[in-house]
Amino acid sequence: MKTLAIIAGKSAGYIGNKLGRGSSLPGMIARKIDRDLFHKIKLPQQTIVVTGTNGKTTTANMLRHVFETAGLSVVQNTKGANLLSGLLTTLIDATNLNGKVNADVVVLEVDEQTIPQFFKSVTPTHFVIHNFFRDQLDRYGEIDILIDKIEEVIDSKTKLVLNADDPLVYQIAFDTHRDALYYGVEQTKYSVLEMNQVREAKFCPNCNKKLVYDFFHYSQLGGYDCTCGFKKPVCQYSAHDVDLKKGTFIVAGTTYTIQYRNLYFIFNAMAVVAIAKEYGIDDETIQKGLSTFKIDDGRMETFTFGTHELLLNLVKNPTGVNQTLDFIKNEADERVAFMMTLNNLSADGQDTSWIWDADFEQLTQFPLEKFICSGIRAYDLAVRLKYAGIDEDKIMVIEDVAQALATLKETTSQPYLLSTYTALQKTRALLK
Amino acid sequence: MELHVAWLYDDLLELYGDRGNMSVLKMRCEKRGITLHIHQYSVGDQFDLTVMDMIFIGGGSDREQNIIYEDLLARRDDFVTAIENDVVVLLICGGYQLMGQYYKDLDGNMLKGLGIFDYYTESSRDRMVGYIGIDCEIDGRTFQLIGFENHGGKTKNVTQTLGKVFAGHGNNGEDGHEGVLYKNVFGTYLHGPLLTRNPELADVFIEKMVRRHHTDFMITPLDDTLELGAKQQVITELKSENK
Repeated sequence: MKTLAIIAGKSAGYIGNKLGRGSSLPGMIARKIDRDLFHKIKLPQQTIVVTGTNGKTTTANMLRHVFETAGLSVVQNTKGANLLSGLLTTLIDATNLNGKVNADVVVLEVDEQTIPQFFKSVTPTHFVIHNFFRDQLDRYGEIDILIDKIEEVIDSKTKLVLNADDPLVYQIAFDTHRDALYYGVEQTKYSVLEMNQVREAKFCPNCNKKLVYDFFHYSQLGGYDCTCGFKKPVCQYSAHDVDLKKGTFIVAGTTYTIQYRNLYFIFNAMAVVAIAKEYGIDDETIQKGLSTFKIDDGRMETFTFGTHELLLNLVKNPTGVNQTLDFIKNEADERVAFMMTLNNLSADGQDTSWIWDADFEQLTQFPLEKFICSGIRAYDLAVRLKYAGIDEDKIMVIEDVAQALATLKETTSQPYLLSTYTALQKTRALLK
Repeated sequence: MELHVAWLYDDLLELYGDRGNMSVLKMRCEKRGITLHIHQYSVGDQFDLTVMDMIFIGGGSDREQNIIYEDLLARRDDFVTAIENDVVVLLICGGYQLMGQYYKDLDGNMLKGLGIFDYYTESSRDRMVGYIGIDCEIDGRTFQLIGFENHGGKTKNVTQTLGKVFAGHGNNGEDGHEGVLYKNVFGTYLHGPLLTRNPELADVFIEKMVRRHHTDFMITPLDDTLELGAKQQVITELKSENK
């Protein structure tokens, strides 16, 4: 039965590739034939699962790159297939007919809502929890419920690797009294003492009193410290002297350089440093891996666009928008033109109310030429911008993505493009 | 002209972008030369609801609703006075539920409400999620309101509802009604945020607030091309789904 399911899965993968069809089909077919197949796949000694609301794809890709730089063979779900069928598809692809995965390390990026079900079948050696932000609430319900569910399913054999700066992540070790490996970022010159943007964990997850912070990085990430004893834990791997202009930070005396100069990227890199060090990879190899890492999947990706270079970034929740706008504000030194494609298909989240939790108000401080609203919910976005205080003459609604891009191309300003998930690949194809 | 709105527990009950309702009211007031003062009050703060023109409470998670619960309960008398004095009260989701008799969660735990209204809410496993449209009548004028609902609670025994559901679930997914409307109290499950796609309702609120001071006030219309474009997008979808 197991072999049959694997063969069926592999054939479906082959046919699927020929037809250019979706990436989860083989896993779906294999699970139909053998529901228990997950259990029967023999994982290598090291399996790392990465979850979190933002940054899991980039972190997993970077982790793979560093492992490969160190000469290890890696199996990873690269197609963003992070739900059950997609995960199984990845593993089936990489197994021989006896169900053994041929690799030194497996790196799996898993959707946070899929974790409770996934951990019934797979016990990773390391479990990285990166952050929890509000995201796609109509599909997912509330963060508190999610955290409870995740706490229940973590096996005692799995080592937790946690972002110490996120109180919601730390809560998982605190509630379950478990040891963990912590990574984090110390106070930087970009830290703020007050955070006015919408964020989680305003109240202590342990005692419900107002959670006090020494500083904030962004959203609820930072140095929290409650009188009840709930405070940012000591990090085994901690970044200091962060310099976003140069893209550098220091961990235990070693300076690392990355090509993407914003803080959330440094958090991604810190998760990678923590794991790589745990696996005994030397500093020089990690340095090389981080500095040569590039993304090409619509996350901070640049394209030649008329006479300009255009920056494209995926945004899918308020924190993503805030971080992107922060980055642009620091970088842009001339007039800017924006386009954003807002879709609300099921992979985006049907409810667009999240745009009201994002800090579009800060656009009023940009030298803004125009903002083109595109996608299925273009009008929702236009209304949001209007009430953020942006001059209505600067707001354009062009629902069709290709037409909107053509209009953006006419600009003489520096162009920026934000896109929700389901519009991303179409947009990239149009830009190439 | 100056108006005052109390935005209660904005630091806790702040799911689904309900804050947008305040941005909409503020700007629509400004465009008419009215200053809207928004007072953000939370647990333990000293404040007097009875001097307000409007009170607004949004929705939160169960955990957050538990944190504000005691504080809210202690203000029952102020609420009653404000409501009887025609203060505009907008209650969304959790705020709406807590004004009733009780809220019973999935484990059978009872959270007693303020008991201002006879309705009660019981949690159910089939969450009601999606776009919703209702027909309603306010002071003899008819409106179509659009929003996004996302609730597990079924609210029953509402004497005077806000409107009739033409697409979506509403109070309980069974009787075809949505929300509560009593005097100037508007309780509803409509997020979106509500006022962003329903500028007509925002103007009803502003008119009602000003009329507490000037009974003959008539509101001037604004250019709502974008807002009504957003509304029409959803209505078109809802109608094509119903076919």
